[in-house]
Amino acid sequence: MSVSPSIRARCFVRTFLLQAGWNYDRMQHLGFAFALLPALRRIHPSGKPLEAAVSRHLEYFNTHPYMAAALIGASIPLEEQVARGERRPDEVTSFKNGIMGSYGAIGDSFFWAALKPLGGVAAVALVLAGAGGFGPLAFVLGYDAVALSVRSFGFFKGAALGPIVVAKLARLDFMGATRRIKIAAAALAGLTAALWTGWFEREGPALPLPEGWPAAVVAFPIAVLLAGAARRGLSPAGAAGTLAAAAAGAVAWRGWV
Amino acid sequence: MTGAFDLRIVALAGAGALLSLDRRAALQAMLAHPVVAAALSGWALGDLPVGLLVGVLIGLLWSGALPVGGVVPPDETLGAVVGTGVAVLGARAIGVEVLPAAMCGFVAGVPAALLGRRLELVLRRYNGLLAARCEKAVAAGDVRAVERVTVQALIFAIAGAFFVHLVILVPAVFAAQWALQRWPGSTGLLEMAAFPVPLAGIGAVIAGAGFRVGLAWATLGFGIGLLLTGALR
Repeated sequence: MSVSPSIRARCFVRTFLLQAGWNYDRMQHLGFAFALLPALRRIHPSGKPLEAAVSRHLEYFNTHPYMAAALIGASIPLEEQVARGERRPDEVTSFKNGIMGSYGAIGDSFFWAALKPLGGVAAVALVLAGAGGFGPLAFVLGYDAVALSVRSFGFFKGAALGPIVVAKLARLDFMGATRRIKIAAAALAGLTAALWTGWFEREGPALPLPEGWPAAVVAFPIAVLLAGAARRGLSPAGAAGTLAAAAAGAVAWRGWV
Repeated sequence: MTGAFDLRIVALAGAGALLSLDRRAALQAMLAHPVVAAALSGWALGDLPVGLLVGVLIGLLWSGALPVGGVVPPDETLGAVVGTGVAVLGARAIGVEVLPAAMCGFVAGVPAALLGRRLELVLRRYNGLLAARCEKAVAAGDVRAVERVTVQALIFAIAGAFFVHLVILVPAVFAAQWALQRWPGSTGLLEMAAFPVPLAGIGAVIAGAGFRVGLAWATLGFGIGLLLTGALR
């Protein structure tokens, strides 16, 4: 039984709930089985073959949620081949187990460690530059354009081509893009420090600095020091709280307000 | 505090619970990112500028905290929603200006985010119980259990997030109002204390590129930013 485009679309929509049942025992296994279930029902006759297929996909699974779409898609033709007797059931599991680790590493570094900070800092920069609500909106639209493209490309190519989708996704050069995006985020972070300083000078109280000193003189060194501290494992939230408390304490002590 | 005011806290807790789903359970479309969640909360409460500023203060603090494997970072969405709620319904409601109100939100939002992490750990453990039940049901021939359990996990995530938002928001809003009325001079301290806060998040983003490379590019960006801020004046 082949899986129709409408059933594939249903499976794709369900990939957005991959992590609904995330747990420490088998992580995303429940979401994987949930996303694939409409296709499994079509491929395998009810009873023992269907139960065996669902149980197969309830085994441990964990990868980046966006990259998982490709593996869920590619599992559809693999299951079709299992139903036709062209593959052993354990080959489906082997394929998932072989790819999920590297896809997790690629997705975590590209999306979580690069694209998300870039989007966040871009949104903050736009807000400080006076773009208002357009800043967060542009972040969501820009980020999701990339994320949705990777998810849908991976899923539908996977559903059409099977494991060959891995080679297709490998052409996207995630590692090179990750490095470039992190550099762009750092440059934008520097720009944001200047925008924040300018915003604070316009909207905030006068900082207790010597006559003629712009706030930028202290802002950028603070950001650089905190970058170094973050590299050494200091929590930015803890650093922010400590600095804010120190600033408030100094102001209260010296009677600057 | 009026009845309508109480209802806005409840409505915000509901909105926060839905936004929280985007963190892990559904979508991951960045609606739960603190910059976005704070702006949406501020807009929903009728004070977008405060929401945006809470997003600026909180938004980048956990940029380097990655939800890799079983690691659960602080719940920055809860922090942003609680922070905006406290800023708008607590501080702004008694006439506090935008910057000290947003900073008041930061003071409430950061501990809320750390507390929210606890809820996420509970949810994930509960999901483990649901998953074990599901596996038994599937082994007994009930494959629909996969769908049933997924829906149960979603409902539990929404209910848990709603409860936590409400339990934190109610006392935090009252405490902010009480403290700001008791010590009106504290708004000046809050304003001044806001200055270094976004710089911590900015530092975390710079560090993400590697310290030396990040520093070089950030210096370039900062220079361009200085020219821009001169032009914006």
